[in-house]
Amino acid sequence: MVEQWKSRGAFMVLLALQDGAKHGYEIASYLKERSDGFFSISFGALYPILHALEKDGLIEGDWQPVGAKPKKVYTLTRVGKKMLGSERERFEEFVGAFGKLLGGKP
Amino acid sequence: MRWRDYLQRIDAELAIPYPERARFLDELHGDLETAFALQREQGLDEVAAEQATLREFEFDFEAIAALNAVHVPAVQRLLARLPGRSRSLLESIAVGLPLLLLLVLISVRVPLASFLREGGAVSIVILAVGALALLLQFERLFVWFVLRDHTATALRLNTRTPLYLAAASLLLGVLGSSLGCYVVLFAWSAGQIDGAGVKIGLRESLSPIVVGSAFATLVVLLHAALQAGLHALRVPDEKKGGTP
Repeated sequence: MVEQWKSRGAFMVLLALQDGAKHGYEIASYLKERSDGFFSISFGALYPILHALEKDGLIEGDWQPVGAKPKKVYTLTRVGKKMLGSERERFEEFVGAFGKLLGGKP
Repeated sequence: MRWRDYLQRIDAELAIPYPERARFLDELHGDLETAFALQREQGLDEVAAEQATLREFEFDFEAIAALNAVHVPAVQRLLARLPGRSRSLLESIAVGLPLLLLLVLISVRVPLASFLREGGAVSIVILAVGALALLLQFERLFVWFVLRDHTATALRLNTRTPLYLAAASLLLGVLGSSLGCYVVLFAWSAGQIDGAGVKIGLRESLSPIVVGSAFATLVVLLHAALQAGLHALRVPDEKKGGTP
């Protein structure tokens, strides 16, 4: 669980789901749009991450009748939200520290 | 269906067990439709939108391997830790043990030994053919439902061979019993045995057909159960060109 969770892709997927349920295509589009195209995740990389997170209980998939074909929509579980919160804090600390280094501050 | 070829290709490359594989293909299908609709909204014609969508959803070898790795069944994961020889031994025991237990159970519940003795050589042949058919069924049971191996190689085990063997054991039973009856009636008509001997002879002659039909019934019932199990898991019918 921890290994998948700590990967950058898994973190980004959890971030994409923090403001509501999304299906696979929406997650990929969300990440690309929100990062102005900086982060783009291929579907070949996305599905293994989604399935691993689902197996680990961090997200859950539900089939919803959207349009002609039912779509699998993912949401964060309680465990997933908790993990995202703690990882987010850790990442913010990391970015802050790195920012200081880049800024040349002591 | 628009994505049939693409989904069939992905299906063939995956080693994910069913029904997870069927669900993933459904998920992929749903996302393909979304992507296609968006391409169309952006003004592309059908062919261009389809091509653009397929480019977006191109899966390389690593992606397939990653998906397979996520879905490796727990039993396969455990067995993979064993050395090759131990694994083979364990798998052989897992396949052979149910057959042995079944034969022991039959021997306890019905006088199998006396059936075989009375039926003669043909009953031994029926036992061998029937046991082989049951062994093939137990192998399938183990591979498909315990190992949960639904790769193309594993699903190629899905042949009618056990049914042919079941038919063979039944026909051998009919032949053995008919021959037995003929011999008894011939001896009676020749005055070699009396009425009491005929009764015993005819009873003993029925042994091959009892043994043959018992094995055939077991094999057919197991075959039906296995096919129902595959259907419940959403394995496409013998993987004959259809996505689940």
